[in-house]
Amino acid sequence: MDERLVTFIRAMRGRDVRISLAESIDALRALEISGITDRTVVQAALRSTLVKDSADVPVFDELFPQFFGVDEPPPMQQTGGGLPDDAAEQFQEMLQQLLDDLTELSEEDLQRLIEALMGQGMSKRELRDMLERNDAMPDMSQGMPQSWAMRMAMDGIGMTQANSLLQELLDKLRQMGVDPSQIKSVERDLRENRATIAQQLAEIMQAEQGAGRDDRERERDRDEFLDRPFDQFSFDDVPNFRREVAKLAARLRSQAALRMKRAQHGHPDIRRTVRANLRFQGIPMELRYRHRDLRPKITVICDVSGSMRAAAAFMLLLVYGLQDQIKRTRPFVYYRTIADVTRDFQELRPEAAIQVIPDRIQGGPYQTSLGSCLTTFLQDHSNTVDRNTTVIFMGDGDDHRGIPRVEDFQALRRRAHKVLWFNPEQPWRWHREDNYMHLIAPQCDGVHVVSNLRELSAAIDTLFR
Amino acid sequence: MFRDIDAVRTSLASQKYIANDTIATTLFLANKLEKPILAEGPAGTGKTELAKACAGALDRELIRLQCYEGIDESRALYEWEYAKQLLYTQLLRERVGGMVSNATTLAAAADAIAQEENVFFSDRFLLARPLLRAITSPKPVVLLIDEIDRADAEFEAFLLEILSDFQVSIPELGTIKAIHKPIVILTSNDTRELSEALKRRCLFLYVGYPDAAAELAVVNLRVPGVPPKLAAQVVEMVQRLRQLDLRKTPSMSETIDWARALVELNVRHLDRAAIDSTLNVLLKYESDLQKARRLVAPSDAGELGEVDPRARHEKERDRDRDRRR
Repeated sequence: MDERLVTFIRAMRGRDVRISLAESIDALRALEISGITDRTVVQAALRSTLVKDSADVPVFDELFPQFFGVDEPPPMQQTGGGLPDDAAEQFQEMLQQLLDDLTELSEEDLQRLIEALMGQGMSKRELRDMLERNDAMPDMSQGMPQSWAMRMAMDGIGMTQANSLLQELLDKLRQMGVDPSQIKSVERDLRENRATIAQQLAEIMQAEQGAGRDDRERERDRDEFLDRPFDQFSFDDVPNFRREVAKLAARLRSQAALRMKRAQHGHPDIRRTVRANLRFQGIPMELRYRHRDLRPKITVICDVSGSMRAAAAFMLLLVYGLQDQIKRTRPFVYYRTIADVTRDFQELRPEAAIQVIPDRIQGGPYQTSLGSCLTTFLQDHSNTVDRNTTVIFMGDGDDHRGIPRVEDFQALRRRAHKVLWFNPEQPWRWHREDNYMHLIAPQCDGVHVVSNLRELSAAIDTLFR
Repeated sequence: MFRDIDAVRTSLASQKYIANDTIATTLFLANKLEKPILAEGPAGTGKTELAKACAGALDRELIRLQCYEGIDESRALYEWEYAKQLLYTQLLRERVGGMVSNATTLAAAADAIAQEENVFFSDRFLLARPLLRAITSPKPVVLLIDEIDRADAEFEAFLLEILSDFQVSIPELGTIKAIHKPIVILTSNDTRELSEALKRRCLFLYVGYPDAAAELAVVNLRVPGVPPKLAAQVVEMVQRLRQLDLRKTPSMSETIDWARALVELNVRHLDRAAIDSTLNVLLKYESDLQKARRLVAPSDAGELGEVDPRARHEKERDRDRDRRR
């Protein structure tokens, strides 16, 4: 049981569920206490000790049956059911003869595989044992392509041999004059059963692949994730990286909180000190300070045209991960039109909100209209900007429908505390046609190149300095 | 203490709390492993109620610490009672004067007072807040740290010592260890990510919305006198509403409130009029109320009707969106 639990924990870690040594020990102790006779209790005990994030529950629920499950064989096609009675009888006889021969030859695994192909499915546990007995479990840690690994596993358990033996039986049926269409139906059943076994093997290998990944590999993946350019992310993938973004946000949040705590002791507040110490006969036992709220107010304006969506999504996820360190956030998105998406973020979790925001605006390829969107923003939403607000644009500075008005940027800069521009593109790309960064950059208090998550978090960190 | 998992289930049921296998097992393990439980899930699904039921089942006092933004040690752990200290110094002024009367230098006088310093920094002047009360209680208690996600990250870090070792350090008094280790239940509505360190010290329990059968059982248990048909209709309606894209999904506690309201109004079965007049007990936003009203179209019989085609369309669109997510 302990060994199975350790493999299960390795598989969970392989799927990026963080499980510490202390938690593994807790799980073992929990099983000692709760017992292992009731599967539901084992599941509940392991879930409460190993899973500490609701987002990891589906991974747990997916892997648990593979390691501790009832693990019933999947439903299989009953091969040969479509044959006429006399042919079916002969086929059964030949099959029985074949199985007996295999028993004599001590080829139990091959015999069991043929039975599975004929309709007596195998549980995953049985299949996993068969792979291990035949030394056929592919080493997934070496980055072997899935198709190779599958072929290796199939060959290892004797699928090729089983297929040719069954094919010989079908050839005999053909020679006996059985209708070819009926033989084809037998072949179809065999194909489907083979596909079911392949699916089981794929699931076993996936779990094995997870278990094979070590901590260093995961660390490398994380580094790669932080440095991967935004344009290599698909927008739909972004919510899947919620955990990494949350971790990044937590680190930024701690730094920001510490800085603010250190900076918070301003000048003593005489009036509040006198009032607080009236109960001590005016002896100043408790000092009161003028606390300044150093948390920034942020208005984020994101370009959500195709190439910018992933960057905008990460930006919004990070900003919302830092909500307790920000006094107020007003998010806007633009393409051909601009829209206030504050309500989406109030009503939904950030990872759900970023999925719906592209529906809030209009636009298509080469329709980015930065200039007119900015004008609309100033007309309709300028009340979201005051002298304490930092306005952050996240975009490439493209405008395919006109030239952004410098006066608008100047007006915005006059109203705001700061105007910053985060651009995912490198400066050498800023001079192409339809790009107006050369006009925009001088109008901003700061321009940051943020082509990946590491640069983005560094840029956001500057807001709290 | 709970004898086994079934005993947990039975004891909680005696407190009108229906615990599923996960809740019962987690509470049993928390008791045995002496670890806190971190109960996470949407608001109103019975996380706080679990702590109350647990205290009731074990006949222990429930000590509750409600977290909020800016909560600190002085609100959660202890505070020196300055006013009382000052009062004592005033009353004992002559005695203090007598103590230093023989001192010839200022330093000698200060030393004489310093020797008595412990009198003023003793339990007598310590104002125990919930955490300290839970640890120093002479009887075992249940400690509920409610809505931990509302507290700041620094406060979370401060809790770690208590959650792992059941002890606190007070500079003037030293380390205070728990007389009886309390059963600790932390709740979180998942509005922000909690630290790994905190999660690691707890057993995790996700308390989501119950399925129809469980919800019906709770309604029957918590709402005395509810007609069976009405209870079933209420639960069915709530379950359907949870499928919609609402600003605020109705919680378990709101289902109970709604059923109670309907019983108070002597409603025997749910019809359009009853829904119209009481739905605001269940839903708290006008946009949600409108969506809910569209869900139920009036039928000839006046009974809970067919789903309005517009609402059906809306529901399908919501499902599509969920799938896309």
